Amino acid sequence: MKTVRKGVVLRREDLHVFEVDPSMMTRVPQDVTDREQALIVRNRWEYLDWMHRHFAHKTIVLSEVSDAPSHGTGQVSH
Amino acid sequence: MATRVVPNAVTDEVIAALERALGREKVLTDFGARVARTRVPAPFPVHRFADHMPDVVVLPESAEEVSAVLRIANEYRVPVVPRAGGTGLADGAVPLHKGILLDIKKMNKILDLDLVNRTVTVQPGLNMLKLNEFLAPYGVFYPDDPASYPVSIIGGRIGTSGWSLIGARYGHTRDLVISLQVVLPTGEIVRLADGGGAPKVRKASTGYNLKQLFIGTQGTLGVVTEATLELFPKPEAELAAFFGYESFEDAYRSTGALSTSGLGTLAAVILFDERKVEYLRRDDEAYIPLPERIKAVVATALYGVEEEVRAAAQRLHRIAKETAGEYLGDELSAGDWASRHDRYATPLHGRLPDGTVVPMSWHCEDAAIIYSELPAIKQKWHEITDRYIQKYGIFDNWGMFFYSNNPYKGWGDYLVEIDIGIWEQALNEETWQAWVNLKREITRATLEHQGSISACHGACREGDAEFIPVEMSEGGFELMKRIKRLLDPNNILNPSKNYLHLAYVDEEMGGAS
Repeated sequence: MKTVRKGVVLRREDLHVFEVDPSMMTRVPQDVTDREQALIVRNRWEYLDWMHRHFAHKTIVLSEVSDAPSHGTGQVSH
Repeated sequence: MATRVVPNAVTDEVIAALERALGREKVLTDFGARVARTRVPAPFPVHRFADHMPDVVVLPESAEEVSAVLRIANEYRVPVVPRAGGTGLADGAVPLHKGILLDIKKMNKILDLDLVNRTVTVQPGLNMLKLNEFLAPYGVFYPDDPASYPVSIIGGRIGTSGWSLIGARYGHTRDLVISLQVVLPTGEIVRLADGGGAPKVRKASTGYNLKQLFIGTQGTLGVVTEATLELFPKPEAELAAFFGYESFEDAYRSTGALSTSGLGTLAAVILFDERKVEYLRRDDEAYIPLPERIKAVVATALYGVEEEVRAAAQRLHRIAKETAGEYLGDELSAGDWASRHDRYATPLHGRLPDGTVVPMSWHCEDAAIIYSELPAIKQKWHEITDRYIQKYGIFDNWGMFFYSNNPYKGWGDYLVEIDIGIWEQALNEETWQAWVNLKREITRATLEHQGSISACHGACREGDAEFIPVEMSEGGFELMKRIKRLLDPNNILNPSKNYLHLAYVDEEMGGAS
C-alpha cells in the first residue's frame, strides 16, 4: 500500500485499485479481501463492456481514428 | 369532510372498496410495502419519515383498474400518488398527504412492436433496459438514457419529462413519446397524441397537442397507462472522447465550440467544473491519476453509422485541440462514458470538513440555464453551498456538471447540476431547514440568471416548488391552477405537488377564478 496523494492510497498495484486512506475510514471501516477486490474489479470491467454493447454494436476509441494518444494525460498504464 | 386542500384520510371503508375493485392480492397495507414506497433516493427528512408513509399500496395491471382506483379516491376524496421506479430526485412520488400509493410496476407488458412504422407500444411499468433487451434482436433501440437507466421506468420518465444522456442526438423523453393513453383524475380513459388521436403519427395539426400537457406533470393531472414510443436503428458505433483543460474558462469556451460544431452524430457534451474535477480526483478511481494542472474536463460522445462516427471524431478532436483541450485517453473516455449510463450503482460516501468518510445521500440540484450564464451561476451556486458547509458541516460539495440539454443539437440551454452530499443520519429539524434554505438560495440565483428551476428532475420539493409561481408569474401558473382544478376537481391526484394546493386555496377563499 502506498500513498498516491493526501488521503488516497494505492492498495493493489497490479489492479490499480485506489482507496481512501484507512485513517479517514474510521466511521465506516471496510474489510474487503484481495480475492473480493479482484472480483469487484473484474466484474466492473465486464459490466462496462456489456454496457458498451448494449448501446452500440461497436466501440471506437479516438486513438484509432486520429493522432490522439491512447494513453492520455494522467492515465495509469496497464 | 375536509377541504380539498388537505384531502381525507384513508379509512377501512376505502381499503375494502379497493379490495373489491382490484382483488386483495393487489392491495397492500403491511408496513414493509408502505415504508419501501415512502421516499426516493433524494435527501429526505428521515426524522419525519412517518409523515410521508402511504396508508395503502395498490398494484393495478390495467387502465381499467387504475380508473377504478381513481373513482374510489374521488368518492372518498382521498389522495392518490402514482409511483414508477422511485428513482426520481425531486420527490414527485413522495406522498405529501399519505393516502393511496399507486405503484405501476406490474403494468410492464410490451403491447405492440411495429417494425414497419418504427414504434413500440408499452405499458408504463417497463424499464428501458428491459425494453432494449427485447428490441435488440430486431436491430432497433429506444434511446431514452438517464443516469438511472438500468432501474428507472418509462412511466416515471414521462411523469418527470426526463432528460437523456444522448438526447442531443436522439431527443429526450418528451421527443420520444408519440402518443399516450391516460387515465384522468376522475377516472376517464383518454388517448392523446401530437394533435389528433392517431397513435403512431408523430406530427399532426389536428386539434390541440394534448400529449405534451401530460408529460412532466409529476402525476398531478393523470396516470399514463400506455405509451407508443419512437424506435431508432441501434447505432453501429459509439465513440466517447474526454478532454482536459488547464482552466474552467478554456473548457467553457471549448464546450461552446464543440456544441455548435454541427456534427450530426454528436450525442452529448458535458462540462465538468474545477470542483467536480477536485472531487473526482479525491474519490473516483478513474480520475485519481489526473495531474493537478487539469482543472476542468469536457466529455463528448458520438453515436451513429460507423463511417460517420469515424469522420466526426476527427473533427471533434481538432476542435478540442484548437480550444486548449488535451485528450485524457481511451481507457478513461470509454470506461467513464459506459459508467454514465448507470450512476445509481455508485456507492455514495462523502467527507466531513476534516476529510473523514461518512455515508452520504446524493442531492443533485438541477436547473436549465442558457450558455451565456453558466460561469456566473457556477460562482453563485458554489458560494451558497460552501457557506452552508462551513456553518453546518454535514454537507459536502461534489462539484458541478453542465450537460447539453436540448433535443437534436448540442447548443442552447444546459442542464446545470451541483451535486451535494448530505449526511442524513445527522439530520434534525434545524439542519433540514438549513438544507431547504440552501435550496431556496440556489433557486433564487437560477431565476436571477434567466434560468428555469429544473431541467429534468422537476420542481416538486420544498425549496423549489414555492418558486414555481415566481418563475411562471406572467400568467402561466394561473393557467396551471385552472387546468388542475378542471381535470382534478376534488384534488385527489398527488395533492399539493408543484405547489398546486394554491389552485384550491384560491377557490375556497373566493379568490382567483
